Amino acid sequence: MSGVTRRGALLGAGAGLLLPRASRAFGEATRVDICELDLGAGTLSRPNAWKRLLYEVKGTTSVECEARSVRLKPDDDALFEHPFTVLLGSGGFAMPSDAGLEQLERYLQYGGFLVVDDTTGDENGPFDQSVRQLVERMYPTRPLGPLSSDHSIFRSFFLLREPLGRLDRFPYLEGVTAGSNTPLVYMRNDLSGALDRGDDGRSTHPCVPGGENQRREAIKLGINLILYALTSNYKKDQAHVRQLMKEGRLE
Amino acid sequence: MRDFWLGGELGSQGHLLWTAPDWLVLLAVAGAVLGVVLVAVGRRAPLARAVEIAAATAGLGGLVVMLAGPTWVEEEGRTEPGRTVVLVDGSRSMAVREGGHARSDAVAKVLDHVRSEVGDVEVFHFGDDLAVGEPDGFDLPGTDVEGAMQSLGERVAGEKLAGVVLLTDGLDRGLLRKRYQQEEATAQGPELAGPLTVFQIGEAVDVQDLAVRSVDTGGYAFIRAPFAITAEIDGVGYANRSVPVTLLRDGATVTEQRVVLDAEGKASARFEVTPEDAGRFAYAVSVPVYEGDAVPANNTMPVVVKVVRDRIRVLQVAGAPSWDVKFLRRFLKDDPSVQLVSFFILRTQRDLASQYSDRELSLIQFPYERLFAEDLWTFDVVIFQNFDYAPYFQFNSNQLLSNLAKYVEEGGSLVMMGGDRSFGLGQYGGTPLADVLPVEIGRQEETPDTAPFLPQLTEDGARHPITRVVADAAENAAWWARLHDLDGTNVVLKARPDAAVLLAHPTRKDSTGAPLPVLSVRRSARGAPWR
Repeated sequence: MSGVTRRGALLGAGAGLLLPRASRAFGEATRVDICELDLGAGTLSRPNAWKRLLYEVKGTTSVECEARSVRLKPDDDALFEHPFTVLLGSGGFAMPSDAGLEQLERYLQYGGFLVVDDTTGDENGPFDQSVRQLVERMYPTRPLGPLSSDHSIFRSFFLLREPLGRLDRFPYLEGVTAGSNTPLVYMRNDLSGALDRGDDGRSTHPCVPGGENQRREAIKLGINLILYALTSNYKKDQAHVRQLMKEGRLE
Repeated sequence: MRDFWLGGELGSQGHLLWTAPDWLVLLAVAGAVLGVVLVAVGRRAPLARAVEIAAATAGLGGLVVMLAGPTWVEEEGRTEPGRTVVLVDGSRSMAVREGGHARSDAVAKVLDHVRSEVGDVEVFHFGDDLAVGEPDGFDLPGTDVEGAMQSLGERVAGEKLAGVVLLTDGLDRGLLRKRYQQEEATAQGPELAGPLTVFQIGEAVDVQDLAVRSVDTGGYAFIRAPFAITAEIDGVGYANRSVPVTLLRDGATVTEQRVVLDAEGKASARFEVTPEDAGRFAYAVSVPVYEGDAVPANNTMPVVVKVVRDRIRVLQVAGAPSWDVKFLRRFLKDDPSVQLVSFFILRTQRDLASQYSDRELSLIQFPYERLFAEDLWTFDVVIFQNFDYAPYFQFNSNQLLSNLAKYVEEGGSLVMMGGDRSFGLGQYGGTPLADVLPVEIGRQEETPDTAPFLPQLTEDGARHPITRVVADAAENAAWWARLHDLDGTNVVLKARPDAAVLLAHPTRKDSTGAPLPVLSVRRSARGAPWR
């Protein structure tokens, strides 16, 4: 993709009339936003983190976003209006009702995507235990497992080496893979903590140990997760892999 | 008064229970003794001392009794009648006809009889697994009596049932039969949740049934490429016998082979077929109906095989990632008869000013020139999914759109899907591509209709294979009526005279006053595929 660099930029700058227009109200309801899953005590809400991520996605990619998040119970039918869902928390939580569990399974089966974010970074903490119990209930024959470093999530927009969040404790993502699709991803380095910010616009939590560089990588991971939720394994297509290897961006 | 102090009348069947822990009682007794001793110490008249000791003993004694927590306990209970459960064998052998009637006809009579004898009963049916209720039909492939008993035991979780009633013809195909054949049946039978009563359905004679149990084709095949059709044959009463198995296509015999059934009456037949034509073909695997065959209906099993020219090559180009884009990609990727090449625009010129360098990105350049000048002819279908060409076709855009129009005229298929980058909004008006679309679009950008609406199935749509999602016309119309509202539509000028409108807007009109086309198709001049 040699031309995308200077050549593409110059052509783009010189062809103002050819710039894509800002999207119209048409299809507004299908713009991407983020749904926080509400499983009661033990789970958390960080709407400002997701607003920040959606602003970044909007400014960096062609994805049409609405910078908003909603909080829904798993048995709420509105779940199907949101292609990207997160579950974050710090403590043990109660399992959803049978109806909620069934709807969540159906949502993921029909193309939905769930990112689970452990904000504690603890090994075997109460949130971690609840997450594993939830996954076992939903996928009794497909346990959580580490995702390989060449998984599409690590190249859906940015080329990433490791999943950094507020913490840098776990060098891998875990997930449940069905066929060529990974509908559920488990992040244990507190992604939302790196993205969260106060009403004054300042980041709420310091990223350790890497500081602002680490936060930048966490934002890139967030963007990749949203792109993966919308394109699935697109970046595994041979046309992409061959070109990236040819340009030395992929080994 | 007594009831007041005791908190109510004491029943005659109860008993006294001291509820306080022992250590508290001992502590209270020690305290009381100490209190009495302290009262006894000191000089005073013997009578006064005696009175004081007696009063202290009575008071402290009462306190000790109170701390010991005396409670009057009465126990009562009642005996619930046990439940009666009926297990109905739902296997195919229950559909065997004897004396002009299916064995299963007797089930309803037996159930009525049981209900009249014991009142309410809970009914389950079983084949290889246990399920609640009476069977919808008697077509389950297996019969596992022992498994049903065990599942029932797990369901009632140790509860003792008043009775278990079993309705079966006794043709068990589970472990019970195998153990019986291995002479282990007397060693240990299934654990019962209650007293068992068995109703034998059908006559105690050996049944003969030759059947095609399953046919596997993989669902599709390619022209001039061999594919396999595998059939499982099951013959009750035909153990170790050789039987002919016939493969038919559209009712005509294709080939035949003989198979030998094993000691359990099972065998498989494998046919290798090389189709010469494309289309959907009704194959069937058949075994003969011998005299005495209990269920002749299961001796033939039909199956439809889709034969395609080759893998269909599809080019999917999307203007931006979205849930729709992901759905279509997954749908096409999961179809083994489709070879999909996707290109999604992940970043536009608008996003070039972002803080990230190209080296950080996994993006490759959109090879539009190669695709629409050279590779185009290798695709069977091109899909523009809400894709606007203008920002990306930076050189020779008119020529590339002409190529695409020529591709359509020469038999290629094009799908243009709506959105804010399609039709007039994608600046296709006045381009060479506009001439081959089934709808006319203006040269100016249109104003889309953003009101949600439910598209209406037209007369053409009711017949066309694209919108005929189920065979029955009424059911098909009902299916479309259940669709969710769409978020809005592109507003085109009108459908071309030689186009067919399959879905139309319920209220909005086009420039001719006809309902606004929502989904339209048109054949190319050469009569090539729809687009």
